Amino acid sequence: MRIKEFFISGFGIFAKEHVRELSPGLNLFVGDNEAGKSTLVAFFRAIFFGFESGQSKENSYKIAGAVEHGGVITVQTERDGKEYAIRRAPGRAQGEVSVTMPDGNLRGEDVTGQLLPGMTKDLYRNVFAFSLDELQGLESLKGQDVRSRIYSYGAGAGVVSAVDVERQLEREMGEIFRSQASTKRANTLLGKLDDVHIRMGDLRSENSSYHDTRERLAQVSRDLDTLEQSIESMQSEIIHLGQLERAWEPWTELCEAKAGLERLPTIETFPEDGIGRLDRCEERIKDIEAEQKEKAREQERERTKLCEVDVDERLVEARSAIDSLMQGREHLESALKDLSGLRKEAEAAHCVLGEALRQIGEEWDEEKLESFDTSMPVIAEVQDWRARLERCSHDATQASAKVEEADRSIGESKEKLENAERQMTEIDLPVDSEHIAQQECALKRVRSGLSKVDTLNLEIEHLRQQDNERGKSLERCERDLDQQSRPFYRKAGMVLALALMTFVVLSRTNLPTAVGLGVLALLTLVVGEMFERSSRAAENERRAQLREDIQRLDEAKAQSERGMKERGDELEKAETKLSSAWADLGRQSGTLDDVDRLEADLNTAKEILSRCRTLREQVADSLRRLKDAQERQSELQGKLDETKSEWLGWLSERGLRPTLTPETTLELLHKIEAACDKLRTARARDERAAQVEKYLDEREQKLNEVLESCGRSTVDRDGMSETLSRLKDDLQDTLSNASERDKHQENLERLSLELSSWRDKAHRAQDEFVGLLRLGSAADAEEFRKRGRYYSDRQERLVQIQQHENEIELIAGLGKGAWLQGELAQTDELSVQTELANKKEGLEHSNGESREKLTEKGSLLTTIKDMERSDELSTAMAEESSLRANLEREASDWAMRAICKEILRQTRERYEKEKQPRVIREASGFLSKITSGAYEVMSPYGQEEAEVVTPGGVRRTRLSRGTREQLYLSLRFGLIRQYSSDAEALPVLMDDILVNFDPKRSRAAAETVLELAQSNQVLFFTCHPETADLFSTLDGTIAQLAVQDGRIARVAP
Amino acid sequence: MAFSFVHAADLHLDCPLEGLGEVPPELAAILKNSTFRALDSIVDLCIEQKTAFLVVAGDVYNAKDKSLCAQLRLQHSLARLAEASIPSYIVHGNHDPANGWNAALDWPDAAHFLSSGKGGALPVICHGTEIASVSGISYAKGAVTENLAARLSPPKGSPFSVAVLHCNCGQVGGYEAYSPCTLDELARSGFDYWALGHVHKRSILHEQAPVVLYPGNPQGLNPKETGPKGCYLVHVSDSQAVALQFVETDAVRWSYAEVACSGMTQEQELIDKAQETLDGIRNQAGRPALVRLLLTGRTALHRNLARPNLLREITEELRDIDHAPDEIVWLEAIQNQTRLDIDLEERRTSKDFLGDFLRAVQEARANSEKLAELKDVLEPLFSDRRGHKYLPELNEEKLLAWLDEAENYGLDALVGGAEE
Repeated sequence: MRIKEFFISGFGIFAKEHVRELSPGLNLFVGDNEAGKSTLVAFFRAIFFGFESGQSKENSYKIAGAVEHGGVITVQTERDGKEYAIRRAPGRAQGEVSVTMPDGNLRGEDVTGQLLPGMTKDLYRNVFAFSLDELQGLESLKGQDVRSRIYSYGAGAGVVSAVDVERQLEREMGEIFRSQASTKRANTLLGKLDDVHIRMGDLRSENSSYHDTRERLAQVSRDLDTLEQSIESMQSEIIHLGQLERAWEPWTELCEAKAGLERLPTIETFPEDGIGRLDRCEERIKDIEAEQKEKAREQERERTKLCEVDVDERLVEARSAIDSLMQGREHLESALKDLSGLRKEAEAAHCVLGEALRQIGEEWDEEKLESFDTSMPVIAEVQDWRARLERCSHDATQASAKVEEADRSIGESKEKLENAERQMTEIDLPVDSEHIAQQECALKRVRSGLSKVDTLNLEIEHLRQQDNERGKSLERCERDLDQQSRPFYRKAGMVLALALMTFVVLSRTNLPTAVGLGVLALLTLVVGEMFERSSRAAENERRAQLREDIQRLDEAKAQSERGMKERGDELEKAETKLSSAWADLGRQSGTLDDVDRLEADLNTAKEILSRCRTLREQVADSLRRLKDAQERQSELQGKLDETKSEWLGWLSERGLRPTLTPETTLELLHKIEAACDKLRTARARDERAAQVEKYLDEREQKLNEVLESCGRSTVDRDGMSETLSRLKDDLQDTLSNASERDKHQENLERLSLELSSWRDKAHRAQDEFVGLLRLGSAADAEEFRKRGRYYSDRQERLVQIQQHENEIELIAGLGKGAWLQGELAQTDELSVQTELANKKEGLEHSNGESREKLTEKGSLLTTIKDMERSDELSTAMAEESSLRANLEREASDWAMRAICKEILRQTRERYEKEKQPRVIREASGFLSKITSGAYEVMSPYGQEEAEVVTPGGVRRTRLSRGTREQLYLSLRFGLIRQYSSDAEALPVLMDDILVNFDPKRSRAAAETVLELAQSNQVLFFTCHPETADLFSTLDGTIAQLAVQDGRIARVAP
Repeated sequence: MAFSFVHAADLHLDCPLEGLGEVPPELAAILKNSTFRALDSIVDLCIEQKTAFLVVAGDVYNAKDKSLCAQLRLQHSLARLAEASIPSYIVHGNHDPANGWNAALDWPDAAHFLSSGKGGALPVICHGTEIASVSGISYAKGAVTENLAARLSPPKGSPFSVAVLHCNCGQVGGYEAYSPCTLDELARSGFDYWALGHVHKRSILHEQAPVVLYPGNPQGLNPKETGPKGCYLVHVSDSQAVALQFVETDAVRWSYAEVACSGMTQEQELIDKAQETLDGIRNQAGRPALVRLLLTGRTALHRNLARPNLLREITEELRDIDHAPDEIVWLEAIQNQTRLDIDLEERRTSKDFLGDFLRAVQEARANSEKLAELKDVLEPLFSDRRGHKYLPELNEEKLLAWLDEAENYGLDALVGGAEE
């Protein structure tokens, strides 16, 4: 891992400083004292591992009120080259860290842990980011953390140190169990187990008291039985004493009543309520005498009134008849008044009836009218007839229409047929299809014949032309053959041409003429011969070719002539056939146009013929339809006639005229019904008038009978009403008088009866009075009253005695009254009360004791039940088992860790003892280099410090400050190397660590720093220009940064 | 005369099931009553089969000072048998010796608690005829090291003699050597049937006459007592031939199942496989089951499983009691014995620190002295006053188990992130 850039903010002297592009190797920060170098080292430690807390002795470099304290370090991992920006800002004590991941996501502390695996703040300070102070401090390498790493880096198991594991185990064991602790898991369980055990002990001891409890229960039950017996005895005694106490008062009164009775004279019998009854009897006798006198006076008054009243007895006797007549008086008067009107109404009704009968028909009279059936079934029957007749008539009409329609259709079709046939005759063409077919066939033949004749003519013409052309070609060939036999002209021409060319050449080359001519001659000879030879060969070839052509043309010409002859024969045959076809068409000859025209006519004829056929079919079809329609019409007409005949039968059956139709019949039925109504009306009116007449006759007869019985003269129908009124008045008068007479007579009878009754009462009262005196054994009323009082007193005493005895019996119980009286006679009230109080007290005590025992028994029973039902012990045992299980688990965890820790410890100790760690070996190499091979490092087991030895193994115990620092530096380098070999190589920060080294060792140390910078990025801080120069001397490319007054600037190399 | 009887032992009435941490109340009620329900099953069996008698070979109760509740339940059960005219013959064992506390209860006449004396025989009378005799001796105190079998002899003329004894026959490992005896000795004793108790694992020691057997306990009491538990229904023919029939009586069954995690890369695979295992047990058991799963194999999941809470979370996830009571399968615990996916033997030979560590573990494993030395580091807890009281004795088996776990732990920790 290397630091790419950092941003420091509000940290010590630095307000805001951004340093970019740090070298992956050595970076030299140069600055004076107080320039901020140590601050920078602290800054890196703080960002990686947290700010120093307020309690720390280290400077926190926090500036109050300044910009945000903290900063960002961007690092790049070696492993994959990814960049992480670690930012630390104020927050918790160590500040809040946030890491910007390569993908831009923000993460926290866990990532710094991953980036700096196995690294602690102290380890980093002491090993990776150290100043002279740390380097010089012996203690800084003595820490267990650092020391353990020195050894455990050899563990070969990565960066996890055995010490870390041991610590972790220690911590985990501490969480499970610690002696004397109480909150650790196992300790808690042990505590709970103690509690459960105590509870189980208690429950077990409770259980063992079960037997005792049952014993106690038995004892208590026995005690309760004894107590109950004692209480029962006491209760019966208390009851007895209570009886005596309660009976004491009636007993005393009983004794007094008995004494009183003995003092009174003995009167065994006396009328009950004798004195009262005697008094009431005397009073009644007086009242009766007064009443008798009053009734006699009243009787006399009534007799006088009776003699003064007069009554007509006959009229009274006829009273019911008169009342009867009077009751029908209104009816009578109404009948008298209505009679003439009714007679007129009857006459009018008969006139109306006569009119109605006339309307129906002359043959109709009342008898026929009455006997004729006009009921609904008849009407329905007529309606049915109407429907049937209508249906038949309708069907017949429709059939006629169809016949007419068919007839009309036939006419139309026939007309069309005639038109078509006429058209056929007009176009003067065959009118039968056979003929047309023949014509068509002939036309086809003519057309084919014409076409063939034309074709053959054309072919003959073509052959003739070919023949001519071949004749010409033949002539040309023969001519060419003649020309081939004259080559001299060509040779002469050629010699001339050569001579001309030779002349031109010679004239230009200035050669002598002779030579020229010679050459010419020679050339001419040579060329002439060569040309002759080649011409001769070509000529021969050409001639052969021409002869072949002539032969071929001859053959072709012969062939053409043969063809023409064949075609001429064919033409002749075709023309014969054509003439025959034309003859079939009725012509001698014609053209193609004629053929087309004939064909058109033939098509027209075919069309007309087809139409005629269709029309004939139509006519035939129409004729068939007409026949069907006529048959149907005749059938329906028959049906109609039959129905009509049935209808006439129906009419005659009912005595109706045959001229009637169902409609008129229905109307007639309505009229008959109306006439029937009128007949009924007329008859009803006649009957009514007769009834009234009869009623009046009866009334008249009855009235006259009454009049005769009363000795009065009779009357006619007209005087009936008046006579009746008079008779009624007379009757009322007579009845009033008769009523008065009856009243007086009734009064007289009543008074007589009353007087008789009063006399009887007077006798009875007197008898009672005498009877009482006799019953009371007294001579007079005075004596009777005296004896009555004695008897009453005696009876009262006897009742009292009975009552008291009953009371005592009630208290003592049935049949024990006498016994109790005997007891009472033998004791006194005070002793009874005293004894009762004593007994009650004793009972109260026993009851209390019993209640206590009962409570105890209940409690014991509950306890036993609880014990029997209790599962507390089971629950506690289950809990104990559960706790033990948990404890065993915890103990197992603890034991496993303890064993692991022990074996780790043993292994580590053995390892330290037996093997020199790699760290030491690395450190030894560094020290040897720094000291130019003078010293090496060695780490004896069990000692706190590494030792310096010479290469010969001689220990150097007394070391100079510089050598010691060189040893520590070497050890650190060894650790850094070791760490880097196992994990990411971390940046190393060194703050002026070379100041105590001599120049030689300084140089060697600087070289080792540069060597280290090969694997780890190094940030080297110094205030010594010579140190900077030293590094520059060793490597001119080292990046230098100047630190000054809180600013950092890059220095050009 | 042919007859049958039931041979049960080690009822351990009211004994809480061991090894269970917290369980939901619905299950807790079932577990608490499990030993009683097993007793009920035995009694039901006797009544249904109309057996001639019942013998219980010791450890009827779990403790010397047994609960009243347990005694009352036994009283009730024996009363039921007595009502059905079935006599019962019971001896006390090391867990419930005769000198323990007994509530003064009225026991039915047909219930016979055999004394700790000479071991006389009691005749079993059926319809006026003696069909068998039962001899037996109860433990007078908890630890009886005397061979009580020697005191027993069959009565003369008994048609079928049964001896009831709580003993360790043939030095069965894992059980106290109380009333030690040998099979040969019992076989020669002259009894027709030795009804033994003490060993919780069912085993027939001698199948031919005389029959000698341990029926095991009728209810498994801890995670080690897995599988069907019950009693023997013994049919005796007219010719005294014995036919044995094992009858399951356990109300709750313990199961121990291995889940091979080799090749697993996802926790879900583990959960699915574990669920499948639990469902299989649910279908087989036919009653509530308590299951301990053992995760084994080299797997990439090992490091995750070593995280403190993951196994607990998986356990919680797999715990589901939303079933009919007979179908409850309670995952008691998951034991993780998975390993890192590395070759341990190869690493053991490496010359580095880890190699040294693994070799040190191996050395302790192989050397009992070294192993014993490790006891010292366990003293703070195991020799603590209360630790000593409540924790079981340390033994080699435990130490070896912890050593295995320690090796695993150390390996995980030392390899650390290096493998990641």
